[in-house]
Amino acid sequence: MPDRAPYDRPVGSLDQLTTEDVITRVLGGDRAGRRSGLADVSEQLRAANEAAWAATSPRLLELCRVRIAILLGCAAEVDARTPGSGVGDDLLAAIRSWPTDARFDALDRACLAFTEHYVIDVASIDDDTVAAVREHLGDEGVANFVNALLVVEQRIRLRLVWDRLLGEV
Amino acid sequence: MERSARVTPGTAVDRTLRTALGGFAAATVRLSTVDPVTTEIVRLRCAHHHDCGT
Repeated sequence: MPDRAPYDRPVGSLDQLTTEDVITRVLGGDRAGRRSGLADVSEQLRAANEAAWAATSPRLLELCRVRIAILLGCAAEVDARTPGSGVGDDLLAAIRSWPTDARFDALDRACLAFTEHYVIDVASIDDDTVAAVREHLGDEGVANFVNALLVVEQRIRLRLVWDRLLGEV
Repeated sequence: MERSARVTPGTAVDRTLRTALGGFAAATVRLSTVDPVTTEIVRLRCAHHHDCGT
C-alpha cells in the first residue's frame, strides 16, 4: 500500500498542541512526510522560526505575535507564550489598548501599528508607518523585523487552516 | 502604487534568517502534491496581495 501524504491521514485532535507540534504532526517527520517533501518544509519552517526570534527583539515579536493571533482569530496562538520573551500576561492581556496604555512605549506602538497594517492590507503600508519603526530599529532592524513578522504570520495562518481542515478528524 | 525607498539601498536582512526563509520557500516550491496550475494561481494571487512585481 503506497504511503499517504501526511495531510491525507488522521492526525488526531490539534486542540492541545503547540503550533510547533501541529506543524510536525501535519507535515510529518515520518517516511511519508520525507518522501513527499513536506518534512523538508517543516524543517525549513522551524529553522526560519528560530532565526526570526534570534534576529529580532523577542519582546517585540511576542507582542506582535499575539496581536496577529487576535486579529486572525487563532486562539491557540493567543493563549501560547514564547519562553524567554520577557512579556508578562498582564501586558499581553492589554494589547488591544496599545495606542493608549502607558505600558506600551514608542517602539512597541510603532511595531504594533506596522503589524496591524501588515495583517489587514500588507500592500498598502504607508511610508510613515515604516519610518516610525525605522526610527527606532534602523535599516537592518526594520528589514529583520518585517521578515520575522512574515514567519510568525505564516505559522499562524497555517495553524488556522490546519485547525479548520484537520482538527476535527 | 509608487513608494519611496523605505530603507537604505543595500540594507541586508540577517543572514541566518534570510537563508532560512529561502530554504523554506525552496522546499515549498519543490513540492509536487499540488498540480502546477493551482500552484501558479496561488503564487500569482500571493504576489498580487503583497503588491510584489518581482
